[in-house]
Amino acid sequence: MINTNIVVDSDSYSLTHDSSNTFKIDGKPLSYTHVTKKGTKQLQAIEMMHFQNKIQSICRADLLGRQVSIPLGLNMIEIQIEVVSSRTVAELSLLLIMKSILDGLNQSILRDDSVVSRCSINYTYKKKPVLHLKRSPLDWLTIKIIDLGSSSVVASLKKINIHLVPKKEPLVFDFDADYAIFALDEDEYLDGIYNGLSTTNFAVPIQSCYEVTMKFSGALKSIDIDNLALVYYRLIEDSHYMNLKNVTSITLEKTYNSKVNYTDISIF
Amino acid sequence: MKHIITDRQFIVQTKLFSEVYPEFPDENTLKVYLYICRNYDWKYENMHTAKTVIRRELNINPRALTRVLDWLEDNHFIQRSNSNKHQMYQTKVLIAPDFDVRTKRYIGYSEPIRTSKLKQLQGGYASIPNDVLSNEFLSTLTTRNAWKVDKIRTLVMLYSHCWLEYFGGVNPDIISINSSGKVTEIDPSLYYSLKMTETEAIRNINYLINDDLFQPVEVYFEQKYHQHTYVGDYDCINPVSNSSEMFVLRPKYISKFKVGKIEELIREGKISFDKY
Repeated sequence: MINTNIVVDSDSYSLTHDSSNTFKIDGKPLSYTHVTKKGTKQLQAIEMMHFQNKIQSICRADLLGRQVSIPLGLNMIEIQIEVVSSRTVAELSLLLIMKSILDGLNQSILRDDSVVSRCSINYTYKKKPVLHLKRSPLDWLTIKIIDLGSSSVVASLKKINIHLVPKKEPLVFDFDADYAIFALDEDEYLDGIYNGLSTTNFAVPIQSCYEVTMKFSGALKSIDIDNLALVYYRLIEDSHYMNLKNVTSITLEKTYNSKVNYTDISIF
Repeated sequence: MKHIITDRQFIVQTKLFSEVYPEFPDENTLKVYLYICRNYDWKYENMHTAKTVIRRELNINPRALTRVLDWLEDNHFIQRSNSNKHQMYQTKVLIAPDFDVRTKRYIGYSEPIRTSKLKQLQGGYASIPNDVLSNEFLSTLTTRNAWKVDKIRTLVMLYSHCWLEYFGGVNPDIISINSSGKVTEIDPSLYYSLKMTETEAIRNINYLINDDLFQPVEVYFEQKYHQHTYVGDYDCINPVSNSSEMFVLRPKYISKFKVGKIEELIREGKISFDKY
């Protein structure tokens, strides 16, 4: 194991890695926040809203059909998402599809996004059927919602033929005057981690596809797992960081422990 | 084409048109349902019309009407609200049920439709000006020209993607129009929602253009950071730096409630509209 220290904006973080597949950053994990001025008029992407509405609707029907009362969220929740598609993984952006699905479940199905402590998305390519009806989508979605208190599957949707729409940024009306994003020193922090990794010779072996697991620990009870991943996932896919293509599986996990703070990332 | 601002509109829930939601059993069901939505009194949360009037206006026979109303009520789309049988027909429109793909059953909300509740449920809806779907138009919806059902479904979805202050019409990322004003490409999320191929969706949009309900309009868009949004009509404003010309699809009728900024756009001389 290789140990190094990185300094970002006078804060020091300890960074540990195995030089090829896993690395760990100490300190409270950062979460993506999107701050707009109060009252800013914005428009969410309508096609994404329609998609989230469909997800919410089919999951609600499944849960109520099984006599499960909603919203869920007394216990922590795990969500497993399987995507089979005739589109390439590059066309789909798995993490943003996961986020879109979680947002769709928020409030009506889940009391709050933050009750999800484990979430995974897996992709499998499927050759386009020879007799493909061009009226039906090229994606098939399987979702399992698991109550971690009782370890029981409370909802299970199998191979739903639905067109997946990733999370998109909203449009802001009158952009100049009303909009402000406070980047939270996120870039500087990621630059610090990436430099720490590359100067100590961390390099993921080249493969045709990758499976990523991210584990977060800290006072994270009210923090959404997908927003944590949005920060760190940039290290993996962004062209000025590791620039890895074809990530076919993402697993996120958060542990609520205010005394133990770290982010643990493995890429296989 | 003159564009017309109207102040009467009704709401259609876009969840009805989706690849994971079944179609209504027949044209009559869609037409009666839209008729009820169109004539719904939002203040009293009620539609109050004699069955004979509905029958006459929609050109539908009594047995068929009863069958359709029973189906809509059994599947939680509406809830009859007469206090007794001898009163004129009254009903509430409910939040459209969800569909359980496993058991193939509708699962209802038993809550009257309200925009606040729909927003909370992320339930998309389109605001359709009453003038667009007249009773006469609905009454001609028959089996023989079943394509009209597709045209109505397309129309509702176009309205849901139409945001004047952001796009000057329908989002051009969803419906692309080339420099000669022809519809060239449609986002898959839209044609899959309509259960159509891209070609079929383009054909239906062209029907709506031929009917004068939508028209390609030349506008200026501006690139600001990662945003690409509408600045004004080609005929109305001078180009600003980093603006580009393009075509968007604009409805003839637009409700003034849907676009709060429309008065402002008109005042600033960015868009031209006829008042109704």
